[in-house]
Amino acid sequence: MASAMSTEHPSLAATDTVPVGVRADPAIRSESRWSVGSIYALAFGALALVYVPVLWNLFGDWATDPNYSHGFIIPFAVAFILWQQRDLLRSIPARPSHWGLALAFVAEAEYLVGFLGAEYFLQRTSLLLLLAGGILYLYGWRHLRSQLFSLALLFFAIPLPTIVFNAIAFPLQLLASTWAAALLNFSGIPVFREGNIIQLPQRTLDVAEACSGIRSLFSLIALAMLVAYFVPVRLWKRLLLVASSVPLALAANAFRIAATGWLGRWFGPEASEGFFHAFSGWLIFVIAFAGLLAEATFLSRRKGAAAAIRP
Amino acid sequence: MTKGLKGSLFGLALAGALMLGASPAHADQIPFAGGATGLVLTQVGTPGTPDITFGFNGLTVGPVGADTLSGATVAITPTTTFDLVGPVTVNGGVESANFNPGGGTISINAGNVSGAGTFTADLDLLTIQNITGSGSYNVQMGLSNVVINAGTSALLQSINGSFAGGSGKITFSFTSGPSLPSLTDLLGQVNGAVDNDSLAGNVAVPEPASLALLGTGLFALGFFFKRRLLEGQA
Repeated sequence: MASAMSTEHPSLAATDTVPVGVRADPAIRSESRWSVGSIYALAFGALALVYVPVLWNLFGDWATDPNYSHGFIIPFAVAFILWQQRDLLRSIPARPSHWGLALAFVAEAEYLVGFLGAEYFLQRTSLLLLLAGGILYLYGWRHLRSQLFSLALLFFAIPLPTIVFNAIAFPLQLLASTWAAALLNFSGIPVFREGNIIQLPQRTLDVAEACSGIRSLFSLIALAMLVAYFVPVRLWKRLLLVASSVPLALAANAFRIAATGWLGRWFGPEASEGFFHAFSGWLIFVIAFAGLLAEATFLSRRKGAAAAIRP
Repeated sequence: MTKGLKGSLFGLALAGALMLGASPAHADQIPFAGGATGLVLTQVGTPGTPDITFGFNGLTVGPVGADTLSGATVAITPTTTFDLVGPVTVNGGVESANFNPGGGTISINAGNVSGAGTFTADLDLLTIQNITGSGSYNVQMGLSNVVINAGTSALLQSINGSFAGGSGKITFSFTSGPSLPSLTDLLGQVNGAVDNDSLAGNVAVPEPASLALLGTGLFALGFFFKRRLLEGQA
């Protein structure tokens, strides 16, 4: 790949078109390499200057916000995927495109808007756009296409703007409350639901933002994407797999909230708090994920599922 | 596939143990909007010494999500100093409290209360008057050495101040002490008997942190697709 770059990269074209005699001069070649190295060092230095504060702030969010603590493991998952793609990436010839530069400019414009407006989401997503632009500029469209999945996965690590987050979380709160109340009623426990407050005979459950199911939703969608990536089935089945993770996550969360009510009712209030509550919440997510894996197994066993489609 | 299924189940179990161990312990959560009031039962210790000491094992005030604080982010940890001037009310006397960067402990000297010996007076353990900045906040508080005995008090009296956001919450966790009370204990006991009817605070039902959820799934995926992953790109 490195050799392909040195002959095809537009920024290095001048090196390839110089007279043979000049090219053969070791001193000039060394100087040329030094210049290219300096340019790269300058570029990376400028990038670090701009994006280190952004990343530092992002790490802070991952560390303090339980909705996005999964951000810490997403980069490792992406790194693993890149490692797994190593043969594929080596086999794709580099075809640098100037559109990458345009994309990088758009990314920096986005960053500037985000910086001036003190809007973290724009600043952070501009890094993804810049990465895409860099891949396109240095390696070309096919390489960019091969990395779309990884970039999409990285997007999951970026906290959404609060206004967007709340626009998703609040309807989820109401939906989870409605379904959980229905489940509790169905099981013979009389409840009265008022918005996101579920009143049980002995206590009141508050389906707050942290209970909306958005953590399960994000996590299950990301996992469904990974499962869809690794299962050798047709594209529509992969899309179906990812789409089905949404109702699965919502149903699991409603069941989790109802389970809190059942635990409190059958085993006393203590059972619905602390460790048991945390464990039951985790266990229900595991069951939901097992359901997703079962669905993937079913889809991969059906006729015509042999054709593997790789991003 | 059966073998893979067994492997994934093992992975899930292993991941679950790891993730639950790694996730921060929490007891109950009360949203700001809950206006939680109730009853807490306390007793004094040795006369002349701080009778009830609330050791803040971890108190952080930070923005939720992408919100920003107009002031500095407040982070109070056990390792830093923190001057919280009376976020408590003893016998109805409300003292103001401002959260500032730093950390430390809060002491309530029950010797100032007439008839020291048993704290049966109204005791508002926490009245947050102001938090610098705006936005939404996570407030985590760890209490230790809380002795539950008898009395009538409000664990969380009120939260006032410059909150612009609406998604904050307060987490109580109890790390030591003769008894480790649950929210039910703190809010719902009357003279030693659990009185659920007196609960005014709501019990929130938060999900596990997304790190635990996604981490569990990745562990399971590792087992489920072990061979394919190790073989590399097909």
